[in-house]
Amino acid sequence: METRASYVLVGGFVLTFLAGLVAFAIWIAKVDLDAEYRDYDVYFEGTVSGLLKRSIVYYSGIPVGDVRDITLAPDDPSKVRVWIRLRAEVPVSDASIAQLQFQGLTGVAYIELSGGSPDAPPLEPHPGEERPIIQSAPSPILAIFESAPNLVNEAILAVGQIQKLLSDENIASVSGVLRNSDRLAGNLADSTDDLETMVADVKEILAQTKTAAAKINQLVENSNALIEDDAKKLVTEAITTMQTATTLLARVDGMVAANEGAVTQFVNTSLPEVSRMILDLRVTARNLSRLMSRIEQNPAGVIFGTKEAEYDLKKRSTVEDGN
Amino acid sequence: MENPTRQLTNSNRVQSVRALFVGAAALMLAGCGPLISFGDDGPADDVFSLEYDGANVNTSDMATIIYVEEPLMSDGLGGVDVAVALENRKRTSLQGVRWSSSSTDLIRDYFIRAIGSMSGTRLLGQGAIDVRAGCRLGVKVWAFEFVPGASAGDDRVDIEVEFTLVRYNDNRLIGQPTLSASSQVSAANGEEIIEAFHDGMTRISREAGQWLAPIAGECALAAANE
Repeated sequence: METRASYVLVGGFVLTFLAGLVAFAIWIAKVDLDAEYRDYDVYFEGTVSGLLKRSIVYYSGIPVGDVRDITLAPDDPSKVRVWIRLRAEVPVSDASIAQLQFQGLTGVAYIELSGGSPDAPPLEPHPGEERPIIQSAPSPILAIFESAPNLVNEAILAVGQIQKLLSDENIASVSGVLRNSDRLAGNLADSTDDLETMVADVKEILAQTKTAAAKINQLVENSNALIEDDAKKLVTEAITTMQTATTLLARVDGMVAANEGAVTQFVNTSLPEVSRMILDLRVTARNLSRLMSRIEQNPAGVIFGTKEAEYDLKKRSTVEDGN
Repeated sequence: MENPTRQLTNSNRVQSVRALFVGAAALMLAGCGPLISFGDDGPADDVFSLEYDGANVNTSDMATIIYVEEPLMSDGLGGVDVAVALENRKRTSLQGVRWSSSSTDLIRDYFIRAIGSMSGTRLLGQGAIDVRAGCRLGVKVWAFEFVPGASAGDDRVDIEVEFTLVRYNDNRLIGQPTLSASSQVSAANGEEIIEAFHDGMTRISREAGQWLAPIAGECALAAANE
């Protein structure tokens, strides 16, 4: 006996099953059909190693989008253009910053967005650009990784310097210093009596210094008294002397004014003559000196003259006197 | 009353003392004989003067007056003897020839007239006392001597004079040239030698006048008062 199937029932069941299967798939894929998205570009300087398509984009730790594509910047190959898609409600503005971050030490990279304000106008694409561009910032972890080789080199150099510092010779020197310090401390401990004596001497010196200071103070007071008494007299006498000198100068000035003509004549005529007279006196003194020398050497020769050979023009030779 | 015999004795004593004094005086006078010379009987010296023979052109410009000092004679050139320079640095004087006055005075008077005439400047000497001058001209005579040669034709007279012109006002040395002249003696006698001295003095005076004329303005009394 052939079972008579109900095609309508089967068809309905199949359709219901398929609709449930689709609903289940959508629920599994977490597809939000009502969600709206906006696309942006982020240009990173240097490498974006670890970042892949479908990598997640976070905003304040919340996944708000994913990476759609990674290409080199068309105008500058040193930059990397990352096309990201964000949910439309994510506040993206000019102040928003995209930074490449890494999850732990696994090397899985993602993009972290920060900044932005809900009141700020939405970011719009520049003319000629397909999508709005979010500013990027270098990743601090990436900077650490890039500078890691230098850090290693510096660490190697530091270790070398420490090795030099801790050489056997330096260690021996430090040991010597420590021994000397120990000896010094011992000596100090042993010379406590000497220190007490020294302190006593210092006290005595300070006492003597105090006495000397008192005497100096007394000397200064005596000097002040002396200056106050004798200096006043001295100043009084100086004033009197100056007044006398002023009076004398006034009298001399008056005398010169009264005899200006005579003084002028003396300066104009007599002074040159005095100068000439001095010259003549010099000549006379020189002649007298010469004469006195001759008298001292040969008095008779001065009176009678010295015996001197004269030149005879006829004989053309010198001849003695009387010849 | 005194004894006449005693009076006679005293008179004889006085006469004896007088005779003793006269004798002593005569003895002292005789002793002084070597000290007094009346000269010998040799021939008299020929005495020559040194005078500028040119015209005495005394400028009437009283603005520039220069006082000529007494010359300083080097190496015993002063005096009335005519100096002779022999070989081997020997010095003597010319026999039978002498200057009429000290060569110092003769040279000074010669330059006053000669240089004054040739430079158009008024030069004053010893006689112009109390006259204010702008400068003084010092004269140093390095050579003023007869130099005999190997023969009579080689005799010459050398004269070398250094002039020093100093302004009174500021004692600034304006100039100090040394001029020299050597004149040949045409014949070996006193007249020709003195003529050679005149010739040398004329040439030096001419050069001194050419030197002094352009710089005499420095000695103008107006400039000296600045």
